[in-house]
Amino acid sequence: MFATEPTRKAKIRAALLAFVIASQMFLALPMPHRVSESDLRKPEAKEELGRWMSLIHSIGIDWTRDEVKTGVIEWTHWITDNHKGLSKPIKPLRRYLGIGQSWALFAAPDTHPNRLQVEARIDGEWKMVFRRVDPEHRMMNTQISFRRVRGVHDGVSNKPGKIYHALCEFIARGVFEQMPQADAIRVQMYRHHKTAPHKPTDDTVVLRHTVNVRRKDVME
Amino acid sequence: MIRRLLNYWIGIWDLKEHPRSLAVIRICLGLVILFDALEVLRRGLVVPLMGVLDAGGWSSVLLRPNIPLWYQYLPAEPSSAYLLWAGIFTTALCFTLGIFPRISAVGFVLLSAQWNQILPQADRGIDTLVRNAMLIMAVSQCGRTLSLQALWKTGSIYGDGEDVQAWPRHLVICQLVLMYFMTGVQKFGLSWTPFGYYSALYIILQDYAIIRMDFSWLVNQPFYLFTQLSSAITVFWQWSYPIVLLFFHYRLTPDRPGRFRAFAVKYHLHWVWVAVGAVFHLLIAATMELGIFPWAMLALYPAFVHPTEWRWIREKLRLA
Repeated sequence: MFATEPTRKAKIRAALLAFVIASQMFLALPMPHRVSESDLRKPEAKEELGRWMSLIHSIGIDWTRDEVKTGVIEWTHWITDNHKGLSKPIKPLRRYLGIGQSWALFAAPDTHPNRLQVEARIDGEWKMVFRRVDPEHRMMNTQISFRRVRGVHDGVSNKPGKIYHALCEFIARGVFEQMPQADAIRVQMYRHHKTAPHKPTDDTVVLRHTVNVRRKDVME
Repeated sequence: MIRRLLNYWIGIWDLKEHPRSLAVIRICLGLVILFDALEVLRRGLVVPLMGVLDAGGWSSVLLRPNIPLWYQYLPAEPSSAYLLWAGIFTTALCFTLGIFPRISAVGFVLLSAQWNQILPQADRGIDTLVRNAMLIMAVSQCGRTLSLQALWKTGSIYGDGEDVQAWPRHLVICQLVLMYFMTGVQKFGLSWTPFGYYSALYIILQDYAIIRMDFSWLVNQPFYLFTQLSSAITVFWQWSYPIVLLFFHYRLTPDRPGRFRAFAVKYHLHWVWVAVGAVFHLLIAATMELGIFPWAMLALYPAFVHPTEWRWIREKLRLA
C-alpha cells in the first residue's frame, strides 16, 4: 500500500498534520488547576488532601500537611505558568476558534455537591417551588436544569457574582409570572457532603448563596 | 528504518476512500447541534445565554477588558443575542443539509466561539469538542455525498461516488482517542483508584447538579458493587484507549506477520473499545442531565466505520 514514492503534496500534508497533532497533544497535556491557598481551604480539597496524606504516610513518607500544601501550590504554579507561556503563540487561534484540548472530566468527583432550591413567598409564608432532582418541585426546571445554565449556578464560587444574581432575577421573573400571588422569591444552595459507603455518613448541610428578589424589583 | 516510518506516516495521511463516513458524521453532528440550538430557543434562553447584563442577558462581558467581537460591532440589545442564535442555527442547518458545508462549519465555529467568549460558564467541554470536530469537517470533503451540494453538482444526492481524502476521518479518530485517554489520565481523584474503593461513579451519581434522578439507593448492594466495577472499567477503558490506534494500524497492514495482529484484524477488536464507549455514553444519557454530551460524542463514532463497512452494518442490523 505504501510502496510507491509519496508525492510532494502528500509529504507537505503529512508534515502539517504532524504539526497539528503534536500541538494538540501539547495542549492536551494534563495541566493541573492552578491551586491557591483558598482552593485548599475548600472542604472537598481538604478531604482529598486528607486521603493523599494517609496514602503518603502509609508508604513511609513523613511529609507534613503544610509541606504537601506548599508543594502542590508551587508545583501547580510552575507547571501552569510554563504551559501558558509555551502555548501563547496559538492563544489567538484558541480565542477566536474556541478550540482546546482540556479534558478533565470528573477528574475528582465533587464530594460536596450543591442543591439549588427556589422558594416563593405567598402571604408571608415561604413555599418551595423548585429543588434540583425533586419531582414534586419542578417550576422553571426546563430552564434551571439545562446544561448551559448549570455552569452558571453549579460553578459559583464563595462570592456569587453578577451572573448568579442575573440568573436569580431570571428565575424570579419566571416564578412571578406563574404565581401572581407571590411577592418575593429566594434562591439558595444547600451544600451536602456525600461520602462513599465505606465511610461514615455526614448529614451536614450548609446553606449558601441566598439571594432574595422582590416582585417590585423585577416586574415593575 | 526512519525512512520507512516516514513513508508510512505520509502514506496513512494520503489514503483515499468514499466520503460516506464523513457525510454520516456531518449529518449526525449537525443534527445534535441543531437540537441544542432549538432547545435554547424552546427554553426561552436565547437572550439570557447570549445577551449582556443590561439587555436581559447574564453575560458581564461588557464590564471586562476583552469584549468579544460580537459586542464590539453590535449593540448590547436582545436583538444581537437573537442574531447570534440565528447565525448558529443557520450555519448548523446548512452544514447538516450539506449546503456549502465547509463554509458553514467555519461560520459555526466562529459564532460558537463568540458565544463562548460572551458567557464562558454556558460553554461546556463538549462545545469545545464540537468546535474541534467542526474544524476538521471544514477541511474535509464531507459534503461530497448525502448532501444538497452533491445533488446540485451531480444530480444525485449520493454524489459522483468518487473517493476523497480519508485523513479528516482519521483525524476525528485521533481526536477521540486523545480525548478519552487524557480524560483517563486526569482522573487524579483517589476515588477512581483502589485506594478510594473505586467509589467515584457512586459519588458522581450523588451530585445534584448533574443527576437525572435520585440515586441514593445505589448505596445498597449489589448496586454499589456495580458502580465500583463501572468506575474500574471506565478508568481501564480510558487509559487503554490508544490501543485502538494500534488496531487501526493492524487493519492497514493485515498482511504483516503476528498472531495478535491476525486475531485483532479477524475479530475487529477495535469494536470492543467502540462498543464500551457507546454503552458508556448511553448510560450517561440515561442517568445524567448533561444535555448533548453523550449524543455529540456518539455523533463522532461513525469515524470508526470505514466507508466499506456500512453495507456490512446495514445487513447486520437488518438481520437483527
